[in-house]
Amino acid sequence: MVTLLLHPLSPAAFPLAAAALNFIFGKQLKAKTAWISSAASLMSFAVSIFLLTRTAAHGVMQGSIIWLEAGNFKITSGFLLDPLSASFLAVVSLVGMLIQIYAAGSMKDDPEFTRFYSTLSLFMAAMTALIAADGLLLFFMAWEIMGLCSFLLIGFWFQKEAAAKAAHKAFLATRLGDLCLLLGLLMLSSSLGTLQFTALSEKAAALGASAWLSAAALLIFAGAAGKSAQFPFHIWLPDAMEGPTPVSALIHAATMVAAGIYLLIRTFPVLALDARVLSVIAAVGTFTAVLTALLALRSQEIKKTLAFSTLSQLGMMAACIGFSNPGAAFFHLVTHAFFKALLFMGAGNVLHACGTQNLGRLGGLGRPMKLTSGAFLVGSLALAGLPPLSGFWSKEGILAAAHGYSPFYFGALLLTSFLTALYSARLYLQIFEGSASRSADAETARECPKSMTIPLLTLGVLAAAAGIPGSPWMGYFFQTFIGISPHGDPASYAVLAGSLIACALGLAGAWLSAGPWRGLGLKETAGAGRFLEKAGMELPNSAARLFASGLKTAGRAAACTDRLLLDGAVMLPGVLLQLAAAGFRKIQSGFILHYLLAAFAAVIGLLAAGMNF
Amino acid sequence: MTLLSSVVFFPLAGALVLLGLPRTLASRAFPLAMGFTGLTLFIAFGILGAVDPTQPGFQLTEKMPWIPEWGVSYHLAVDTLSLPLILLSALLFAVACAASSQRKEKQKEYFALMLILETGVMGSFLALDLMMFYIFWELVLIPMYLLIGIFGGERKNRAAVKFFLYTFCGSLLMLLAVAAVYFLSPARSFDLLELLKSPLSLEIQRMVFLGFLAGFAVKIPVFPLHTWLPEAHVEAPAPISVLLAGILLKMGAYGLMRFGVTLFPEAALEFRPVLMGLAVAGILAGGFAALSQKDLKRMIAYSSVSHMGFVVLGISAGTEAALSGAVFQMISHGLITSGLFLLAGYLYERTHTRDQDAFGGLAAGMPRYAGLLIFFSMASLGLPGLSGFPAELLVLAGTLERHPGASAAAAAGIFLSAFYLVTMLRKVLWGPVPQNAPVPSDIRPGETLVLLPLVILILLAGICPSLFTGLSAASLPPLVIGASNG
Repeated sequence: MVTLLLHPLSPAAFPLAAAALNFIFGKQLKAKTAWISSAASLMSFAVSIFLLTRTAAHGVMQGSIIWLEAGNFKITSGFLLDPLSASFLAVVSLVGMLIQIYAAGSMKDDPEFTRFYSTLSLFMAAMTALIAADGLLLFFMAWEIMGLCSFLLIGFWFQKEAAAKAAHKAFLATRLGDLCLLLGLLMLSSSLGTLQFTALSEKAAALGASAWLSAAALLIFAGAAGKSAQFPFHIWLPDAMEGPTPVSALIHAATMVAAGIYLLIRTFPVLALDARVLSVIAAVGTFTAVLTALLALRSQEIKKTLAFSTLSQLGMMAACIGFSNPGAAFFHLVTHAFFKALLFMGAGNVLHACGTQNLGRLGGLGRPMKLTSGAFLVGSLALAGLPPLSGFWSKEGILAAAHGYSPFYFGALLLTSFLTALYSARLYLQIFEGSASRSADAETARECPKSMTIPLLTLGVLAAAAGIPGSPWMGYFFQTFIGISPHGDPASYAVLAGSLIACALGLAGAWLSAGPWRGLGLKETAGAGRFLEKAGMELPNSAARLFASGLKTAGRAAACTDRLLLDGAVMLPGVLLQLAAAGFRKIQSGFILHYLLAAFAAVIGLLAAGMNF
Repeated sequence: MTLLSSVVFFPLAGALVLLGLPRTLASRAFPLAMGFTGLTLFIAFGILGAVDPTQPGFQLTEKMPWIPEWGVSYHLAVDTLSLPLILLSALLFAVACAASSQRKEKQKEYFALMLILETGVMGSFLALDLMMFYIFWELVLIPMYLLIGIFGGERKNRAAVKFFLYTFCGSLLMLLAVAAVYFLSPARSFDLLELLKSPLSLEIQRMVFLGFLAGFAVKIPVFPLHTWLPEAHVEAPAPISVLLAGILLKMGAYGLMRFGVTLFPEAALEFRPVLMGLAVAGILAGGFAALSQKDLKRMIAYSSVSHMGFVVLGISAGTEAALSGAVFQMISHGLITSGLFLLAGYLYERTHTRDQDAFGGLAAGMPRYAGLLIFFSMASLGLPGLSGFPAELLVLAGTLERHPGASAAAAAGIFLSAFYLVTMLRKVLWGPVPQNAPVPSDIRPGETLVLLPLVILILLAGICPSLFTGLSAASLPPLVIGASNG
């Protein structure tokens, strides 16, 4: 019993049970569903901590069963417990639990409360199963179920047209990537005969690079790009903000969108066979990082700004894998989960207190909402990369990897760091500083209830301190523990100085633009900003719409061909027969039937005759 | 009487009982029919218990001479290829019968025809004598023609005649092929096992294979012979659509495997590129056509064309994984599409329209219905954890190695299915409720209960697919195309 309870897949079992319980008994449980879901995540967290200590003491564990077998095709499914999965499990179940406690407050008055928690728990089950998966099969299954949950939760308020539309778009955009991933994993399975991560890396290394494996690697990256919303799939994530804020925090910031990065980390040995594949990943990641950081500056809604910021940070992580340092990418993934979840919750509190998240109508909330503003400040600065907050250490690892890869990418990511500091500090200043006079809502704002602030403050502590285990102060303990790749040249002063300067410049710029230099250069850059929005969002969006309408047109053409050509060709003889028959007798609907029955009888008769002689 | 004969003829006995029912007791037709389909399902479970699934070859054989001078024998036997189809058929007949509980007029005839149909289906899946197979095959045609023609919608005559015309022409060619086999094979027998002992030359195989293919391809349906299907489905009552899509289409695929590939392996190998091309064309054309359908049932019908394409792809790819996927897809498609047709039917009963654009925001007033529709749609678009995923995974995996292009095209077909299904969900269930839109009541517990066995099996097959692949695995190696001869 105890061993079952402490099984590496039991962190998935608790939320799954909670989802089933909430789904079946939702009507009776009502508000209690929130506590069932949160308690399930708490259990997952407790087990994860145990698993973390176990893997630290006993090393890697794995086990699997044959899931599907036919001829020489065999797929296994099971768990892989190593420092990577154990620590990610702990992070996800902790953040998940905090967000679920938070949502108990923020979603309190929603009539569909129980549906919310059933879906959320199902999501948690899928996410934890994905992390603990030993190979691409279970990974893919969990990945797709997360996609379903994301669809259902973006469209949670399904009567809103915008929400329905955003859910539709998110599902199809990620589904396109998912099918690439499916093909990629089937290609791996057919050439390497396995889908288990550990076996994959051994066999890939033994087999060496080939065009087939490179194509598979690119398809896997396409899947990751779909889920992690890398260019050109980035268009679905900003729209996904139509979902409830806890969903944005959990699924579209901290966990699900990071699963794409996790996929790249897990399949890194295959990706790394071909340097060209890595360079594609580096280029796409870096481009997404810069583009969406710029777009974050332009956004006028808190949640959209944060969504762009998520895209940008995911771009940095992807790029870091392209620089061959998955360990640093994972470190940033962890710290990002904390501070981004925190920022979204803060945004949720602002929305809860003021009923708007439009930056133009907010200001001066720091006075009435002290706790929220304090936590938000920590989150913004962690995102900006101010030492010694968590984001600084993890970003420094990525910058170091970029520095080792190429000066161009290093420069581009320094630019991203600068922009990140600029928009994140500006976001804080616009919401919490200045005067509250701009909006009546903001004047009457009050701090949110405890269930919403306590998770926020907990995350504040984590966002501040989570980087320490990966800092030189603790001798890069975290990276060593995860053990996938060494920390890239820690002693480089160029990296340290670059990241500090970028952060300082960004913060200073934000402060100046909020105060003394307010409005400076806005007019001059307005044109560039509009161009950026056109090129960065509207163009890919139009391309996606064009793709969809192209498919629909092809659909109409197919239906038309079907009716006129294919059906017509077959029906023509029938119609002719009927016309001919009109000469002999009154047309009856059953005529063809009679004719055919007669023909049938004739054939049978002939056959019988033929057999007799 | 033994198990196989009883599973075939027990429904026929039921039909006779129903037809003999006096008018005054006509309202008892439903419980009686339910009893007969239920007991048939029970017998099917008995077969499952009696068969050893690890054993290749035929079991529970019942054979006696019938018309000895022509080499026709009464020969029934089951193997692990037909076993899953027997179970699926027995289940879907019970489901279709249960879903017809509200039928008011001409109950006797309706249920009697359904039971005759069941006899034809079971016979087709179990007969090993070509002549017997042909008779059962044709027996299916007539009750289905009448069920559509009498109980169908507005344009039922046209649809029924078209269904008949198409499938009949196909079976006529098949009949000629059956006769040709008899005359050209040195065995001078209609018995499958006798015929297998003396292989035919390639020239004969080629010709005869085409004849069989004509019959099977119409039934499956293989692109471009599918145009009878949307019309028949639109006009047929929902429970009849369940039988049509869930079982009748599988007869074609089963025939192709049992007789086509088994008797004519070399011809099958030769025609493989054609068959595979048509399969992929069907997957894509069906998917594209489904995209632009306003009528809910038409959309599901075209999605059937697309999904049955996977079955044909699996058969033509002919590796063990692909074949296993083809059988899996037959079962999975039977379960999923039945659910979708019943759901479309429930909505039609309440609103008298099937136009997707007429609805909107139904999820608010019909949460149970919405949940089920999302469930079956997700299963249909291949969401892992549900039965469609392992089926399509196996077909893709079995096709990929030697035909990566076909595999990739089929994957594109999966994306299309996501496109039309999710778009349908968004239109029908989500968004604001349009003005003048119908506000139907949520489905009743009884209606949910009818769908429950489908839901459970779809989940079971999705989570533990090896339970299902294990059931059919033993019979697949002889169907591998091109294994022994290059």
